[in-house]
Amino acid sequence: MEGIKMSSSKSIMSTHIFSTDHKTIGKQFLFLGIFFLLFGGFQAMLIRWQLAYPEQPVPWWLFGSIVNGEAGMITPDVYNQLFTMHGTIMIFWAITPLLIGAFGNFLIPLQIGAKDMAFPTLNMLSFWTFFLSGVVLLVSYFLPLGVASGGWTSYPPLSLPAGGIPGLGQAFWTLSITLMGVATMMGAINYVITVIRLRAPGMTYFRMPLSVWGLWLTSILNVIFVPVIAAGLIMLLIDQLLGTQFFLAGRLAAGGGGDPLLFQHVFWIFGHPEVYILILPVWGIVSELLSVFSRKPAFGAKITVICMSTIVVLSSVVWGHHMYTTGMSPLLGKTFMFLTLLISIPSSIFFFNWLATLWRGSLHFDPPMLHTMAVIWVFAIGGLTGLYNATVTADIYLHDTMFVVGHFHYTMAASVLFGGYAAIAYWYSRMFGRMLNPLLSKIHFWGTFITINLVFFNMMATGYAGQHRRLYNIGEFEFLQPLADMNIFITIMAFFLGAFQILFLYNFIHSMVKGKVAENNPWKSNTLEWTMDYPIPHGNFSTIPVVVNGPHEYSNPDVKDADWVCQTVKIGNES
Amino acid sequence: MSPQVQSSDLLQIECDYETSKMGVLISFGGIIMLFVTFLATFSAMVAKELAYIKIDGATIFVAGVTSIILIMSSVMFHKSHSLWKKNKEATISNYFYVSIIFGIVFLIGQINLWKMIVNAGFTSHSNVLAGMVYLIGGVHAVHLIAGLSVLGWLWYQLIQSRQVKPVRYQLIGWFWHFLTALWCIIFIFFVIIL
Repeated sequence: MEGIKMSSSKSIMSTHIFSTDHKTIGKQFLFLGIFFLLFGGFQAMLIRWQLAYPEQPVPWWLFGSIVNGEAGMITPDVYNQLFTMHGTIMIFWAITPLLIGAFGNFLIPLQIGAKDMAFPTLNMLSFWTFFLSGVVLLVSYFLPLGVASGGWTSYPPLSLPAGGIPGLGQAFWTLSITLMGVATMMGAINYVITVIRLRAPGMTYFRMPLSVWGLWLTSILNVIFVPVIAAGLIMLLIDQLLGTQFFLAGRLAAGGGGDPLLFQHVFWIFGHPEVYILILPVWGIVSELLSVFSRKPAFGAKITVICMSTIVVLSSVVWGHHMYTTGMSPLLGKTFMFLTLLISIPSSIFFFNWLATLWRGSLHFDPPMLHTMAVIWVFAIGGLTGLYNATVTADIYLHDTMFVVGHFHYTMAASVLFGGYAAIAYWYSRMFGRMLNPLLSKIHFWGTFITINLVFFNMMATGYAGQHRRLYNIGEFEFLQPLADMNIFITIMAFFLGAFQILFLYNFIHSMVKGKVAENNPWKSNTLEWTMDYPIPHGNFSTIPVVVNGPHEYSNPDVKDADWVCQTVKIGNES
Repeated sequence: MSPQVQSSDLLQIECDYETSKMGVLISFGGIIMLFVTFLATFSAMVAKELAYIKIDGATIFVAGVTSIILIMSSVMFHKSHSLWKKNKEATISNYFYVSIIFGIVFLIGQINLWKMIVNAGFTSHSNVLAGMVYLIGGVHAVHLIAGLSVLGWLWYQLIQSRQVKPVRYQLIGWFWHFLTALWCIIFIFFVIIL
């Protein structure tokens, strides 16, 4: 990093609003992500209310009075809007800023020994473009015909005016996702280059913490695949606004038309890597935290990196498994099935690396570790149930059932949620200088862990029993009557799950003010972000540190009187 | 342990030459993926015989001429950059102006080209392939307008005799050359496919 200019101008605007400090931007992403997490979560509660108590008025404690419907009940249109916006918000405006935006920004420069991102101004623009995209999405709630309701995938022709959804809600949806993509690209370019160019001396690729590896690989996927969905969204947007017919066919198209399936291909060419875009940071964080709280080196760290990289490559050639029921040729279906199942090999390898890291470790069950262990559990269930969805014969039965909903909530929602909570609990002291209340953290963890499993596992059971994922009222179907009680149970558990997140929010905010003041390195970790006093100044390091060993040197026999050693401290023959 | 920075002053961090180059190259990668998706979608539409479009010789001729104009614009920019470096980064050459003018002429040529295709009866509403041609040309034009804006900024800096970092001049040139190369590929693709 060269050419550092000192400026004496300081104002709230430059230090907290339009800051170019990666740490501030990381916190901005974190707050925004938590806001949307709660907003998307609230919508999930409404969805669950409808599934358990179809067509009954929404109670006051679920803000029934503001739900747009007859006599306070959720109408079919509103129900469609709810699950559309729940999926959209959770994937693009909650998980993305929480993991990639917040921790990508906060951690990458600190952990690789850089003063900031390669392009700090671009970084700031990335956040504000992201913020703008969220505003556009929220503004659509005030449109006369409401928000988008074509599902989070927004498949045409349903998502087009000619296909059945009137109004501008879908167009706002498309525009906001496109803007979000622009913001993501800005961030991703920054992350990729920062890691390549700004690593401290001695910080070789295999000395980078695994959390940085996860974030870096995610950014590479973003750079490659976000433009793909951008192309699809541009076409969809002009179909919606200008009346072109790229994705309209049959009698809906006036002049020959195009093909709706083309959008599905474009969507999933991006959409499947998106799954890994969301989960790779969690894998990295889990790999690192298991090492810290087992006080052992991460088992097979290089192999874990190679496996994650292999998955990055494979993720780009498996999109067809989302489209088995679209009438693709059996040969193509089998090819996609084979490639998808192939992913289970590298996934299993690094999964067993996690278990091997735990084996005979000195396990410390602090809140970050509890959440990390939960990721292992939920990812195992999510991963194993993915095998059924990847298999053509099973998927044709399971497609679009609640089984799929349960599966991807295990892999994407539960894994990412626990990964995010682990990261927040672990790096909270670096972000805010205080510790989260450990008792509240543990209550939040156990409450979340128990209820999340009761919700999503039972969703898979109802799906296996035949419940379609987007039914408005299951009471209308005779064969689903035996599932009514189970749906009520899932809903009650979902409400408890939501209540425990309020507890987290309280702990998160309260600890910022009243939490115990943290020491510099409360977890006795090796990596560079723990070497500075709080608050860490803009610029992070007065002199760039020289790294002499790896990030996971825990319980090294050559280190006396401690079971950890900073990456800048030479040990034994390591050079 | 690393010594700590005690000052909370703002630090404006400037990236170095190689970092900037890498940033531009990775951005090109993103733009390439955008157009690859458009062209792949176009190919799929042709393969599925969703529509039929025939481009006549006159249209191809006009497109060829505008393409040559864009290539000339790129060459002129390269010459202006070489002269700027040769003259110790002090002067702005006529090549620079010609480069901008050729870029604008190309855009006008594109509009004429679209009009010719519309006049031939291929509208974006009636024919998805024509719609794709307009879309791809339009998205490229948007990038070109962005390129012209950057050239305008550079021109303003140079006439104000402000110091322009050599890397900025070079990278603006890269972007301009990239857009030229991209258009040539798109044009050849259309000629071959259609």
